[in-house]
Order: sequence, then C-alpha cells, then structure tokens
Amino acid sequence: MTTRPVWQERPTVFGLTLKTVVLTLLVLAMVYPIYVVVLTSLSTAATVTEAGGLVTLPGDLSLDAYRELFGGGVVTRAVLVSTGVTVVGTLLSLGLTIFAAYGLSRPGSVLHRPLLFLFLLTFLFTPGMIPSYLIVRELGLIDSYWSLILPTAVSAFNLVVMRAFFMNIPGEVLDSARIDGASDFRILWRIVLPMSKGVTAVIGLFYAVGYWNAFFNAVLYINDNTKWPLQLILRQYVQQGMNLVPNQRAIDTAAGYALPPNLAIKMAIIVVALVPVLLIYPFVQRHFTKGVIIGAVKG
Amino acid sequence: MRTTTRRGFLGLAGLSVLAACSAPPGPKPGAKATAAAMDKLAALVPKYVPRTVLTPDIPGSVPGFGRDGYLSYPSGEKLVDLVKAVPGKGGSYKVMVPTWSPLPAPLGQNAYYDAVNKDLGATVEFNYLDGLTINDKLPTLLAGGDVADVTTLPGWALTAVPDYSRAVDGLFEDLTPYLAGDVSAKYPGLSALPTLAWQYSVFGGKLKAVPSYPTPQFGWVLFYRKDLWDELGQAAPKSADDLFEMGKAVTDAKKDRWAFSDIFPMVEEIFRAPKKWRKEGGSLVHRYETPEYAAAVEWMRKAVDAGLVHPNVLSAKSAADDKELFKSGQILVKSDGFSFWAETLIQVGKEKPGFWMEPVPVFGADGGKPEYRMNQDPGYTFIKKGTPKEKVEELLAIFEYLSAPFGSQEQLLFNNGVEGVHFTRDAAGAPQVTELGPKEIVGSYVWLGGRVDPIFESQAHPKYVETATTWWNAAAQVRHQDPFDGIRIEEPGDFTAAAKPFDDKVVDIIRGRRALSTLQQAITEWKTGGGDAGREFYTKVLTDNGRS
Repeated sequence: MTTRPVWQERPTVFGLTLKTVVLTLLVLAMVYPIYVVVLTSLSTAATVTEAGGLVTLPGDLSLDAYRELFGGGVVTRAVLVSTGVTVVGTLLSLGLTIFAAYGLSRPGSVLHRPLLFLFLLTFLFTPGMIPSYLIVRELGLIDSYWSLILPTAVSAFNLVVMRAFFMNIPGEVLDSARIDGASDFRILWRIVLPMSKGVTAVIGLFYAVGYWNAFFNAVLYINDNTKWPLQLILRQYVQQGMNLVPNQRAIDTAAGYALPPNLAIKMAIIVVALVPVLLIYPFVQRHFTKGVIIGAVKG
Repeated sequence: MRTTTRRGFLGLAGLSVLAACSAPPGPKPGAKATAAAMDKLAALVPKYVPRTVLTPDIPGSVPGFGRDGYLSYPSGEKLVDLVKAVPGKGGSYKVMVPTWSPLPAPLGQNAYYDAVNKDLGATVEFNYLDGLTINDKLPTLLAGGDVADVTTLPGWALTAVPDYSRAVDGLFEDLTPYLAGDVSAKYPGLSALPTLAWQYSVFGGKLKAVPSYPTPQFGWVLFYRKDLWDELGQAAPKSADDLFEMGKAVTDAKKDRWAFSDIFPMVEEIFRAPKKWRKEGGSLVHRYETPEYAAAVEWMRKAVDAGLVHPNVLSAKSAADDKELFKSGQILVKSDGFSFWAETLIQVGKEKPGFWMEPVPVFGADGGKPEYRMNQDPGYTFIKKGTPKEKVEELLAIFEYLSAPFGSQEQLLFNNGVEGVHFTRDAAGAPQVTELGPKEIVGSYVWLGGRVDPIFESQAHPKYVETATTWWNAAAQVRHQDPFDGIRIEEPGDFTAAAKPFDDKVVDIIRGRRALSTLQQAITEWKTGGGDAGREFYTKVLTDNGRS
C-alpha cells in the first residue's frame, strides 16, 4: 500500500467544517465593520441618535450625509488635488525607483555600493520634521504641490524590494540582449520591465496608496487652503466635535454654525476615503502574492 | 515615535532653540516669567474702560468673569451702528487663523467674505490652520518664520512650542507703542476687553498681541441629563457623597444606563484642588500634593469600583467618545466644555423635544463651595514684524471694528453674515442659519479683535439663556483664584515633562489598574522627577513679581 503525502488525502469533514468556520469568522471580522460604516453613513441623524452611535440594524436611510459632504465644492476640489498628486506622484516615484533599482542591481555600475548605502541609511535615520521643513522652504516649495511629492518621492523600502527582484533576473538574459546591441535603457524597457510586471504593479500600488492617504506633508507645507488634499479636508470633518480642546470650538459654535457633524457624515467620509483604494485593489491583487514574496525565496 | 526622533535629531544638531525640551535637569537658563513686575504690566496694556452697547436682560456677576444674558435677539432697529467710518484703507492682508471646522468656500466664491471685506474697506484673505495638527505645524511655522501678515494662535498651542517667547519676539510686531495706556478714545472696543486677557498678551515685557476670543471660559463644566435624573427621582447633589449615592441609584447596567463618564477633572474642582499651585504660608504646594487631590482620586476610583462609570469610557484611551452615549442616555453625568450644552440642545432638541441637560448646580465636595477653574489664556492675534506703521494702524482699526460686541450691526454682519443670504430671522427675531450659512462661514473674522460674548443662543431651547446665565454667574463667583494670574510663564521643560507620567499613573489608579495606595509613591517620583525643581522656579516667579 502506498501512502500518499498528507496534502493528497481527502479532506475530513471535521477539517472542512473547521476551515469553513474559521474563514467565515475572518471574513466577517473584516466585512462587518465595513457594513456598519456604510450603513451608518446612509442613516438619518435620528437613527444614529437612537442607536447611540454606530448603526447595526437598518433604520431610516438617506443620502443626506453625502449631499452635505459634496455640497460646498471644497471636497470636490480636494478630490481633484488628491487625484492629481497621486497620479503624478506615483508615476514619478515609480519611474525614479525603477531607474535607481535597475542601476543598483547591476553589480558593475558606478558608485553602486556607496549609493546603496546612502539609500539604506534613510531606513535608520529619518530627517527631523523641522530640518525637512527648512529644506522644503529653502527650495521654495512651500504652498507648492511638489512639496507633497518630492520629499517622499523615493521610498528606500520599495527601492530595495525592486532591486531584489531585478537581481533575480538571470544575467544571461541581459547578456544576450547586450550582445544583440541593446543599450541599458533598451534592456530595461524591453527585457527587465516586461519580466517585472508584478513587482511594478505592487510597488505602484504602495506608492499610490501612500500618496492618496498622506496628509501630514500638507499640514506642514501647504498654507493655502485651496491646495489641501482630500485627506486633510476629511480629517476636519472627522475631528469636529472632538473633546480635546473643549473651549476652542466655542467660537465656531457661538453663532450656531458648524455644529459637529453627526456620525453619519463621519462614516460617509470613511467611505469616500476608502472607495478609490477598494476600486484599484482587485486589479493589482493578482500580482500581489507574487510581489510580496519577492526576495523571500532566492534561487 | 516621531517626537523622539525629532528631539534626538535636534539634540545632535545642537539646535538648542528647538531642543529646549531635552535640556539638562533643573530650570533651563532661558526659562523665565516674561511678565515684568505688576505695576509695569499695567503700564503696558490698554486701560480698561467698559462699554455697554445694549442693556442686557440678565447682567453678568463679576466684571471680567461673569457674562450678560439676552433672552431674545435684539430687533434690527435696536442694533447699534458702532463704527461709522470705514476702518480700512484698501489694504490687502493674508490672515492665518485656526479652525476646527470643515473649510468654507474660498475668497472669490464666498459672499460672506465679500460682504465683510466691503464693510471693512480692506481685503482680508483667510488661510486656516488645521486645529488638530496645530501642535505639529506650529514649531515648523515658527522656526521657518513664514508667518502671514496677521496670525492668530490659541494660547495653549503657542505655549507648547519650546522657547516660544523668543519666536514671538522675532516674528511679530511690538504693539506697546500703539496700545499702552488710555487709548479708549481711539479704540473703545479694544479698551473694553478684560485686563487679564491683555496682560497675557504681554510677551517678554512687550505687548505683542491683541487678545483673541477673551470671553472667559470654564475649562470643564459638569453636565447632567436633568430630564432623566428627575425621571429617576433624584435631586441635585449637594456633596460628593450625594453625587456618589445618586450615581448608585441611577446606574442600571441591565438597562444600559451608567451614572458617569470620566469626570475626574471636575471632581478635582469639586474637591477644591488648585489649578496648579497653592500658596500655603509662604511656600507653594502643588495640586498633586494636596489632600483635596488625593480625595478626588479616591472618589473617582470608588465610583469606578462601584461600576458607576460607563465601561466604554473605561476601555477607551480617552473620554472622547462619550458625547453620543450622553445624548442617548447611556451616560447621565459627563464633563465637557460649556459650548457642548447649546450645541447638543440644538442638535438633539429637534429630534427629542423632551431632552434637557444642564450643569449640575454649583456644589462642593463637603457641601461647601467648589473651586471651578476658569481658562484665562485666550488666543492671540499677532501682526508680522516689520509691518509699516500705517499698515499696523489700518490693521488695528480693523481689529477695533471687529471687536464690536453683541448688539451691534457690525457684530451681526461678521458673526452671522448677510440677512437673507446666510441667515434669516425666526419668529422671535433670532438669526437662523440658511443652508448656505455654514458652507461660507466658519470662525474667521471673529478671531480678530476679540470681544466678550454674552449668552444669547435662545434658539437652543426656550429655557437655555436664563438657566445658562444664572449658572454661569453663580459659578464665576466660586472660581479658583490662581496666584499666577496674568503672568505669562515659560516653565522648565523637566517640570512639564514630569506631569505626563504622573497623570498616566493616576489614570491607572482611577481605572483600577493600580492600587490607590501607590499614589504617594507616584507623588514622590514626581517630586524628584522635576516637581521640586518646578516649585523652586515658580517660587522665584512669585518673588520676581512681588507676589510672594
């Protein structure tokens, strides 16, 4: 009798049930909060007050929260700013990272060791907030969209991941291209990149999500309110009514203006901030598994 | 994480200005009280000349601390036209003010800005400083020196910046020559601001700012759901024991009803713990060291042990989410800012006509008086250093216009916008916001100039103004008297830093994660960790100011 390896055995009923239960629980743990957030964002103010917070059972539904959010034109403008910064920033970051990673992955390139060392140094030593600010200011980037892109244009982590991937491309392939007379740019464009679609997609996603979610650079570098990105605008809705500094808000409410939004608006904000990432994700997901294990198994 | 890195880096770089927090133990050399002796302080600020614009229905109790009440909004004819001449001379100014609200439509697409600017005779363009990140932004802003023509900063945010008075000195114009002494003929509005607010605007012996929002404030107010409290057959508490017993009677976990949120700061005030220091026979005793403070900790812990505090509050990192619980009746007593009251009545009142909350009537732990702390560090409006004299004067004229109080036509315009566009009048004559109102108006012009606001939000609830004014004026009479009133103090970094670990330990004690008996140990650690050094420093401040 030949014994089959364990993974070729038929799954037992117990094992199947257990897996189903565990996976269902895991899925619920992720889907349920999103369900509550979406439901609360679609509930009327009365329903939210009745529930004393987040709404778990559907009551009266309305789109008021979304209407309120997009009513003033400020949020719409911020969506454009964020989209612009994300698109331009991602392209630039991806371009720079690819060039740098390719250069650093070729053992013979000029100053390749010291340059790599400099990149890795940024892992250990992050610049302080004030020195960064002073540099951005000296470059004349205060109140410029570039201040949202340039300081975070290249991430050492992404660079290292990409470099590791490029190093795994067999040297013979590149050598043969070189023998055929291809330049380095051509090799990168025709050979390396087509072989690295997965990693490029994943790194691109990392950058895009980073740019989309970033708000702190804008806090520091952008004084002109019309240039604020979406996340910063959304934060202002969320932070309204917070307990941190009770009396500072008195001034805003003195005339009955700007009452703290009800929870529905806050939840609508979460939905708005979440949707773009949710939309992009499925397209990149198939590359994801491949992307994240890069460098894990060499050979 | 970020803070550590930043400090570490600055320390390395030797930027002593900014790394003041990491200075060696003991009072740092630069630390000093920046106000001069009291008589000198008085000579630096405008002389207080009160002015009445409209006779209030309920007059305030204590000058500078009480507040007038208006039961109804004055009709259009009654409103006074205070400023006859156009204050501006056609100048154009960029102004930075903080906001905790969503951004309004920008200049050019905002009818409110257009209307006020037209009346001012100048173009004021606002850029808003995001309120929640102000503590991160401010050090960079002050270090970089990129300040707008006019900058308004809340006092607590400014004083959190290490060595702020040097930054203030370097970046902002000295207003002493313009405003010191009796300037009531030229600036009647600014002269009517409370003296204490002006005294806090003195930085390093110079009047550097115009107080912004000098309306006195209670740091915390203890609110209760009087509607439910009455329904459960309870009266107003007269002592700390009363409050505990009543809390026990109303708490019913099965019905999702708990008496308290984390009300510790208010319990301290009920037990009469001082705000920071108390003078006892020539020496200073810190709030942490007083028996009142220990009693307050003990009371709060007892309430937690008895299960009277809502479990969500105990498991949360801060009490920030207790508002909704209070509105839905799961928490009956909570502390918050005074504005929470009107805000909640307006919000919930429409949906639940029976809803009523109010501050717990004034009472002390032993049945005597409490010592409610009033916030005396308002915001400050600065003018950029190097602004030519005629521009400073144009700006001060604009601030004077904007210091027009309630009851003037000017105030109605810059506070509420244009009638028919941003607000309409209801049957009682009170302005009611239109849909456009909140989209174009957030606190902006109101930050400049400053004025003491009366209580008038009659739209909150018919009972509101009367109850609120009565409570306020009673509470202002039992306010805590701080020996350091009016003195701007930059305390040693170590002293400030020692408070945090101590406060964390107290939170642990209150929430039952540490034994009550460890409080003494925590106090001893606080003393050696900077407390005693702080005492030395503060004693010197008192001597320097002739108050010891």
